[in-house]
Amino acid sequence: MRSRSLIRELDYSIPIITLALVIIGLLMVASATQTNGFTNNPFVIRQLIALILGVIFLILSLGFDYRVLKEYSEVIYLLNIILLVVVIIFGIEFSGTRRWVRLGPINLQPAELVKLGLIICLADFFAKHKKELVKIKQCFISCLYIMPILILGLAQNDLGTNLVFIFIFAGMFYAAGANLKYYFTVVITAVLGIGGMLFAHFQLGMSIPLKEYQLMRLIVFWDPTIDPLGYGYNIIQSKIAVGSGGLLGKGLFQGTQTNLGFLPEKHTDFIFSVLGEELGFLGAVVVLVLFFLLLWRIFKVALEAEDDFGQLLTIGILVMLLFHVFENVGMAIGIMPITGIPLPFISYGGSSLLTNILAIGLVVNVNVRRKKLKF
Amino acid sequence: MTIEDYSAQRLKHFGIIILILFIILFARLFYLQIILEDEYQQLAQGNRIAVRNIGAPRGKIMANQEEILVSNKLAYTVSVLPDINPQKLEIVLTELSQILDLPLESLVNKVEDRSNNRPVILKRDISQSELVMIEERKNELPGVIIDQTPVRDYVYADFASHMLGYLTEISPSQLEQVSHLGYRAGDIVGSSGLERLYETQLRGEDGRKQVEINSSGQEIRTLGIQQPVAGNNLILNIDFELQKSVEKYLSNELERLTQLAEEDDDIKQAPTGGAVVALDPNTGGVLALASAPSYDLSLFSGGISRENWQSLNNDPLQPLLNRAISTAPPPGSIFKLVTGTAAVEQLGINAETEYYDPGYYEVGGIKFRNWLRDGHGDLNFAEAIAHSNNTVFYKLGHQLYDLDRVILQDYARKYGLGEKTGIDLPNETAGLVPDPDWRARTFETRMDQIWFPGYTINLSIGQGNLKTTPIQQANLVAAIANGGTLYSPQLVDQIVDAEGKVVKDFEAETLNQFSVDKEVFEILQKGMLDVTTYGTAGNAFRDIEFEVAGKTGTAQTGGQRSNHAWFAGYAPANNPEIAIVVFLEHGSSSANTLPLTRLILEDYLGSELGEEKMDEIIEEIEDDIGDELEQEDIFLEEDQIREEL
Repeated sequence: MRSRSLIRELDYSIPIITLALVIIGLLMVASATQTNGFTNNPFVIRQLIALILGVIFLILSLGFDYRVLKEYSEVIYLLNIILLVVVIIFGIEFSGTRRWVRLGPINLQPAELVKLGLIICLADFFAKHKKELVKIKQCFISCLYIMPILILGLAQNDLGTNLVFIFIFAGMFYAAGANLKYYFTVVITAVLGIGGMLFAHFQLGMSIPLKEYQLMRLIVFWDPTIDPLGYGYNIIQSKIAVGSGGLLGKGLFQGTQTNLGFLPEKHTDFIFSVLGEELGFLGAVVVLVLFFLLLWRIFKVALEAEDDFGQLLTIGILVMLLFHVFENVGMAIGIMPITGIPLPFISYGGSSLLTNILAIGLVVNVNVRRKKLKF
Repeated sequence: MTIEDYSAQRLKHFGIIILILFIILFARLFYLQIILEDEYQQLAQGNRIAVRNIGAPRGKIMANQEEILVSNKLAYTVSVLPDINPQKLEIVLTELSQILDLPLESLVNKVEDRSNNRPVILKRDISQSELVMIEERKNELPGVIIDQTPVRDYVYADFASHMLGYLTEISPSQLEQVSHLGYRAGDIVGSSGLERLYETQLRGEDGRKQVEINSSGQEIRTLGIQQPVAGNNLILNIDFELQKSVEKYLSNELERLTQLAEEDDDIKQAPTGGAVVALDPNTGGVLALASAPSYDLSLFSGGISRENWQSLNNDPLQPLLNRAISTAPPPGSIFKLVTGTAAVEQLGINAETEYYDPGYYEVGGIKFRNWLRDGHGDLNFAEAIAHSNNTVFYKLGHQLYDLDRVILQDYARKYGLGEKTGIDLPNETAGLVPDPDWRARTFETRMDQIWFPGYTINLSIGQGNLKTTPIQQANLVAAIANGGTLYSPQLVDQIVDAEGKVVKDFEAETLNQFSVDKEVFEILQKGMLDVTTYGTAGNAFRDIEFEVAGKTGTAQTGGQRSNHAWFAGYAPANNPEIAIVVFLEHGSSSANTLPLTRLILEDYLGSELGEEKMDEIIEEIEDDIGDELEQEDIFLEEDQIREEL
């Protein structure tokens, strides 16, 4: 049977690592939300439901060859646009950003799914136009292709998600063979442009297309003590949580920063700080090693992908996960500015967990259909 | 290189990036968690652990049989942690100002005026409904702490208020003076009365507790505790029952006189207040001390509201003023006891020394008049005291002046007039004994600075700038009663600690010991007994079951205002147990002091006769007053004296 042979091809390390991360995540969410009780903790239950749904979708998706997605890339692109528009129209505003859509009893974060949708579309787009990417025209067209998504992302006022879109695009564009001259011209121009704007704002008082809170996040990233009880509070408290964890941590469910409420957003954005505080350096290293192994396996899958589409798909997912991990852990330990980006598989959030499991499903899908010539 | 190879080359860059980023994360984690562990652990402890104050229960104040007058109750207190996010703090304070019905501005000021980051107390003794409202919104009110602290519990809301005194939040200027004693902003301190004078004894020592707190500052559990030390208790010389009857009769009488003044056009004005002081003449202990109008101490227990404070301060009758020690009106005829003492000792007269009163005493063409226009005719010295005859005392005053121009003033000072008695209460006033030095010091023009003999003649009947407090008068009669010992009146008998162990036992200090023959005082005592048997107080004390010695005084106040009414005396006359002064501010006539004096003395010495006959007594007294009110003002003003001489 074909499916049996496929299963034989499966790299088990990917689902096993993923499962390990999800289990650690459930424990951390349970600890961060322990005021809701140890049994029947609604946060843990909702996370479990998302997990089960994710696993079901994952198993179902393995039955299809990932390459069918190429046929639907236009539809998926349209769905992305629709999802983002829906958020803008029907979204619930929460602390300055508009991310959630209420669907009966559950709140969805459509932007999470859009991340994966965008990867599929870009993989198809770049695979089709791979050979022309050396030309300036095609580079320009590629940029136009992503523009609608970025504009809608900006309209949500969700800087973090937009950064994810940008990095996915930049990573896949690079992998697909962008003309490096143009590529780095844009990158350098963007870096200088943003740097120049910030300089002009702070030194010359020029206005800047950033909200007050976004700007403050950048300022306190530089020096959290400027506003220790306001914008700097999260950074300071997160670093205290992680730092005070020491080598072995304070023990699961025992973190004082976590349980006494000093740590903000502890079950979502700052879940890594809970981990650092309660399980210490050892626990944090275990999780980071798991992430490293997972990303490394995904990187291998990309190398071994049978076609350009599968390879770009995997690279897109790799960039997405890598950016999430680095940004989320980085902000918890004070080396990245604060954006509302979850830690994959660990942070509380059904949309994010579902999206990430589906992404792993795609990676596995590419993996089982890899080129066999190499072996 | 083919495009495929080119692409494979670039893919490898992703592996390098993964490696670099993870190395950064590992390095940073190692730095935070291994190298800086201690530092961050301390910060986490600092977050988690706070030291909170435990207010010490203030010492109780008790009457002489340990009847509790002021104690403590546990009340809910709202505080706020000042070091939370300023925007949140603003929201929290706005919300609290609505719940607690306090102006936002005052809450903001309290938080801004703090000297440290400890919780700032916003309101003490909040109501049950305020407590419930705050508890319900606890999650919206980060940094708000509710705890139980002891606050004053006034067992009888409006009782002995002036003596006990009230508490207020320490003012910034006070704080500056006493910060070395461990006071902090927001502390409650005694601001008047015994609470103020014995603040250091009453306050106790605050305790501390180390607590685990959450980010809203709410206590999760207690880690360590240092119990507060309760303040010392005060046991007063005050006789609880006497104090009660004094307050009752004083306010009843003022009410009656106020009503009377409204009905009777002959009375210029209703009394504006009054005071009663009762001393134990043998020890100098204060048995009762009351001032009217009074105020409700319980208004202060949780911190007085601005409206209540303003209405107390703006009340024209000045309820906060302790008239027993802080006002010094002229004493009128009670001063004749001083003139009498000087005369007996210096001029060698006795109770039987005969005088003739034509109705005036004439000197240098001026007539100093008796209150009875046609005079008392032939009368002896004891009768002169009994009838409060002016003419005799004018003459004695003049003779004393001729002997030594300030000898009368010297006697006044021997009785403690013109100086504070040293009673253990704040804000005592010294009053004034006018003499040539005082004139020279006080006035500008040469004419004003001269002391005319007529001034001494005026002084001899208790007029002419003489100012004395009720407590001084009480002290004076107590000295006559005990045969010449002038004590510094003492309210507090003992200071005991919370376990009842005596910390300090007070003996009244002796201010002056008269070194004269017992006879001198016997002559005065005889005259004072005559006052209540056939003299000016004869009607009021008729048929009383014990002997009362006393002296009435009606002091002119000048202008259109009613005279002050005084009675000073002691009882039983043969074996004095109580010396008493009753003062009615603008009480029209000394006779008005007599019914309540009788009721108080009878209560104290165990008799009910007066109460049964009160209507009769009051009726007779009103006849006396009617006669008196028809008299015009008799005392000469300074300019009249000056003109003629």
